[in-house]
Amino acid sequence: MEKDLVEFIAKALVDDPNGVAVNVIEGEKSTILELKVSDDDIGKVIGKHGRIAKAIRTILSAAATKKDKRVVLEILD
Amino acid sequence: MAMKIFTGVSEGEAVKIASLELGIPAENLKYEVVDVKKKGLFSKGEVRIGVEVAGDVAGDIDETVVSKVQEFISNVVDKMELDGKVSISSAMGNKICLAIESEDSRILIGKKGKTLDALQVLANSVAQNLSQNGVRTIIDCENYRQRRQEKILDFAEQVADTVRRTRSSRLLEPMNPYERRLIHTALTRYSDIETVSEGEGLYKQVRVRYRSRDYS
Repeated sequence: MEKDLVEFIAKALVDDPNGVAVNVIEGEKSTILELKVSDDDIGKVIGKHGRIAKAIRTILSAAATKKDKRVVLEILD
Repeated sequence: MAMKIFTGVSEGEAVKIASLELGIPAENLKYEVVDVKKKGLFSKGEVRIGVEVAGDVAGDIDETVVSKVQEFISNVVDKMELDGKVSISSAMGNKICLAIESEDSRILIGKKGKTLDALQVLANSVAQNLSQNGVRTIIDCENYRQRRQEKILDFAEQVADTVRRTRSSRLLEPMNPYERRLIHTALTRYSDIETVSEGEGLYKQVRVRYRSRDYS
């Protein structure tokens, strides 16, 4: 499931895995994932110029292609 | 002892590509020329070299880092709910090369290698966290990287021909740094062709220009 995917990736990137939380808002056609990490780790999941955030989104949409669903990732701060 | 094959339009070119790919300086490469295709009227020449990827250069990267990165990618593929097998194709110098085998390679590669690049960005970030000495990870699937590289080198030659014929510059589509570098290095050997990157950010565009001999 998408939630596990984001959670797993985020936990691998941050220094404080316990601070990772993903909230799922299920819609009719699209799912919104809200990712929350410790304040010090925000940079690690966003990256320079949003490179890492972009990579996570790309992987999410690749994972969703088979299911014909839209997944939106929001990083909360 | 394993051999890896690299292809270029000349011997020097092939060596350059090999050293870029393996992260080993060109003068330290042990290689032999495997096959030479002569330049024809309509075809460019092609030289294949075989590079010994011996044990003496390996072992620079901590094995636990390599297996952790492999495990990470394998888990990500798994959690994407795709079947895939991730194997280590090489780990030497400061480069880890991983290959993914999958029924869903189309999804894993993505448009113009987008998904593969994304996996690589994450793998690099994880590798960076685990080790200080700038480990680079290359992720490949069904030899996509090599195929793409050959395509880009071919394309560079084509563009150079057009530019030479028309004497007008051409702006190529946005490409990532690695692909731009391929174009730049491929065209440096022509004294009448000049390349510059234009634009901002990660995906810049390469402009290929004709340089009149009078000014050089």
